[in-house]
Amino acid sequence: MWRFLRTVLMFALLVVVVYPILVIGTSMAYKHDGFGNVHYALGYHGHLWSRVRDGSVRAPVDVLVVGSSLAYRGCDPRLFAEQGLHMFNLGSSAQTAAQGEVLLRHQLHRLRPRTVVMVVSPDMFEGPGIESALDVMVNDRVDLVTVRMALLTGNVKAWNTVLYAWIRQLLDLDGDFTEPYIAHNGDRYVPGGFVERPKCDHRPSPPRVFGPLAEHQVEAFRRSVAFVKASGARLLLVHPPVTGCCRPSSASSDVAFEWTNAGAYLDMSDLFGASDSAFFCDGRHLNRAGVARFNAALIRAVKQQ
Amino acid sequence: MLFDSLGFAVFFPVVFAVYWSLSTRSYRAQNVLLLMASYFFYACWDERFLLLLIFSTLLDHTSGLLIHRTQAPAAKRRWLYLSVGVNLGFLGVFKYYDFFAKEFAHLAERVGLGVDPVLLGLVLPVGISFYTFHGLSYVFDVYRGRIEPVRDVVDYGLFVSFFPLLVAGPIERATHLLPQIRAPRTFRYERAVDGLRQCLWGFFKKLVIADNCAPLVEGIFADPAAQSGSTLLLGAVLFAIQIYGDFSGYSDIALGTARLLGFELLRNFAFPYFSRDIAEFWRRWHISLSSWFRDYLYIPLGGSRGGIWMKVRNIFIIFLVSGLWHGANWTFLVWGGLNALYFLPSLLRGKNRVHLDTVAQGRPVPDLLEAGQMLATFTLTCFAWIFFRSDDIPNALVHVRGIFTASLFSWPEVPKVTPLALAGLFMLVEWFGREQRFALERMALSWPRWCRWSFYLVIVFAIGFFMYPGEIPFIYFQF
Repeated sequence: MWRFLRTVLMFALLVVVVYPILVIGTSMAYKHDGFGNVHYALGYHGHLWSRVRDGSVRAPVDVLVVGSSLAYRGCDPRLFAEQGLHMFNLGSSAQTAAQGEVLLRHQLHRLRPRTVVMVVSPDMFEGPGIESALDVMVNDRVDLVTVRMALLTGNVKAWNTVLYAWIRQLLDLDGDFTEPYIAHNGDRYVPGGFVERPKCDHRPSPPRVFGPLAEHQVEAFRRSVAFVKASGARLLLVHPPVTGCCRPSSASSDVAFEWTNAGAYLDMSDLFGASDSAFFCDGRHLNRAGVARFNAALIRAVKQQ
Repeated sequence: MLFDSLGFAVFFPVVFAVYWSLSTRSYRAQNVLLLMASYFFYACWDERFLLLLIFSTLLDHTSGLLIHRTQAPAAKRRWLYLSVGVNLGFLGVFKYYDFFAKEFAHLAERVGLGVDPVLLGLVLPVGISFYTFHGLSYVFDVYRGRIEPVRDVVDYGLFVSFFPLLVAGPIERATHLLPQIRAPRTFRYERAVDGLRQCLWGFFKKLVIADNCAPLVEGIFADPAAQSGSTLLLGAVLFAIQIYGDFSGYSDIALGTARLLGFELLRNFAFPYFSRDIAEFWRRWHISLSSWFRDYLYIPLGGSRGGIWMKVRNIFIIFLVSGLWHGANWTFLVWGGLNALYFLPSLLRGKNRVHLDTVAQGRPVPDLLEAGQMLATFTLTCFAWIFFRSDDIPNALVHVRGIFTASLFSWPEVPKVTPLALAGLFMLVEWFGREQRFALERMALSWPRWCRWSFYLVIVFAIGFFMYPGEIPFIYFQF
C-alpha cells in the first residue's frame, strides 16, 4: 500500500509541475487563438483592457459604476461631468457578481469613490459567468482574488486561462499591446469607461427567461456589498431601463430579495414605459437618447443620496 | 454524483483510504462501508429514489431466500413471479407507462375513439434498468439452483448497489460478484496501478473524445434537413465514436475504481468497432447486457435450437427487447430491429461464431479482406445508430435520406476540426491496444519509467487541455 501511495504522490507532484509547463508551452506555440482550453483574447469585447488602464481617471472619483454591458453602455461619464460629477465606469462584458467583486477589489481603494453604483440585473446571478471571467483574467491583472474567481467557475478553460494569463503578466509579454479605441463592430471607447455605439437601429429581443441563482454568485455579491460598505462609500443599486423582454418581474423573487436587502435600490427598469424603439438599440441596451434620459435620472438619484 | 465531478474526486479517495484501513479487521466491515458509500453516492442524485433501490434490494433478497427454502415447485414459481413482477412493474411504471399510454391513445384515435391518456410524467430513477437486471439475474439463478441464496442482507445489498456499477453497469452476475464480496480482499500494487491506468483511459475517452463529439453531434441531429449529405454521414460516424467513448469510458472508470477496491467486474467492451461481422460486434459491445439477454431470455426461449422460424423469432425478440430496454421510443425499437436483421444472415448460415479471435492478431495492420469486413460492419452499425440517436422516426428518415444526395460528395460543414483529429488519434491508440482488456493495459509497460510516466502525463495534459469545458452527462444514465 505504501508503495502505491508513494507512486501516486510522486506522479501527482509531477503533474503539478509539468502540466502548467505544457499548457503554457502549447498556448504560446499555438498563438493562444482559442486552441484547446485556453482562451487568451486581449481586448476581447467591452474594452476592459483600456478601461482598467484608463489614464483619464483621477482619484477620488465621485461615482464608480460596476456592472455588465448595461453599465458600460448605459452610464456616460461625459453626462456626469456636465453635472459636476467625476464618474468612472468599471463595467465589463457579461459581468456577473463574481467578476464585479474582482474588479471592485482591484479598483475601489485606488479610485476611492464617494458613491458606488451597482448596475444590477437578474443575469448577474446566473451560472458561472465564464465569458466575463475570461475577459477579467486576461485584461485585468491576475492575483489571488482572480484565481479564486477562476476556481469557483468550476471550468477547466477558466483554470487554464488564469494560469496562462498569470505567466504572461509575470513575464510582461503583453506590455506593447494597445487596444484600438474603435472596435471592429464600430463600438467606440470613451475615456472614463463608457462604450458608445454610434449607430443602432432598434431590434427587439425575444423574451428572456432567467436561470436559477448560482450560490457562489450570491455569495460574491454579498461580499462586494460588504466590501463597498466597509470602504465608507455610499452604495446605490440600480436596475437600468430595459424593454418588456427583460424586466426583473420575470426573474425569481430571490433576486429582488438580494437587491432590496443590500442597500438603497432603484428600479428604473420601466423608466421609458413601452416606448422601446425611441430609447433602445435592442431589448436591453440603450441608444443615445435612452442613455441621456437614464443618466439624468441616475445623477438626480446620486445627488439626492 | 458523476465520476467526472469534483465531488467524486473527494468521495473516492476518502472511501479508498477508509476501506483499506479496515482491511486488517474484516471484510464484513469493508462491505458495510461500501454499502453506506454506495447509498450516499446514489442519494447524491435523488435521495427519494434510494428508498426504491432499498425496497428492490429487500424484495429480491427475501424472494431468493423463500425460493430456496420452499420445496414445492409451484410455490417456488410464485415467489419468482412476485419478484419478477414487482421489479418489472417498477421499470414499467417509471420507464414505459407514459410511452405506451400515449401510443394507445394514438391508436384509439385512429379507429375513431377519443382517449385522453392519463400520463404520470415521472422522473426516471437513475440506474433503475441496471439494478433491476442485477436483482433479476440473482433471483433467476437462485430459482434454477445455480447459486445458494445470500443470507446476509449487507452482502446482497452491496451486490446490487456497489457504486462503481450502480448507475450504468456493467450488469453483474451473482455468480461472479457475490463470491468476491463474500471473501477477504487483499491490496495488490499491480492491480491498483492497473485500475488507475484504466480510470485514466476512461476519463480520456469520456471527457476528451465523447464530450467533444457531443456538441457537433447535437448540432447535426437537431436539424438534419439543414445539413449536407456528407455532414449527416459525419454526424452518424461522430455519434458512433461519441457513444463508444462515453459508455466504454464510463465502464473503464467503473472497472478501474472497482479494481482499486480489490474487485474484478465483468468486462463490458472489447473494441467493438474492430469487428468483422455483426455477431462479433455484439460479442464486443455492452457485453454484460448482451450476455444477460442471452442467458436469461434467448436461451430460455430456445436459443438457436429449433427451426428457422424459431431462430428468427428468438433473434427478433432479444434485439427488440434490447432496444426497448434502452428507452421507450420507436427509435430504439427500430435500432433493435435493424440489428436483428443484420444478425440473422450469419445465424441462419451458421456463421455467427466465425470471428472469435481479435482481428489481425499479432499484426500491426489488417489485410484487405479484414479491413473491408470491419468497414462494412462499422457502416451497418452507424446506420443503426442514426435511429438510436434521432429524436423520432421522421427525423431519422430525413437524416438517412439526406445522406443519399449529391451533397454527400461535398466537404462536411463542422465548426471545429480538433475533435475530429482527437477522435482519429483515439481510434489509432485503440487499434494498437485491441489485444488487451483496455488500450492502456500493457501499452508502455515495457518502457523505462520516465518514458512511461511521460506518456501518462501527456494523457493527463490532453484531458486538461482538450476536455470539453461544459458538463455533459453520461449517455447511459438516461437508460
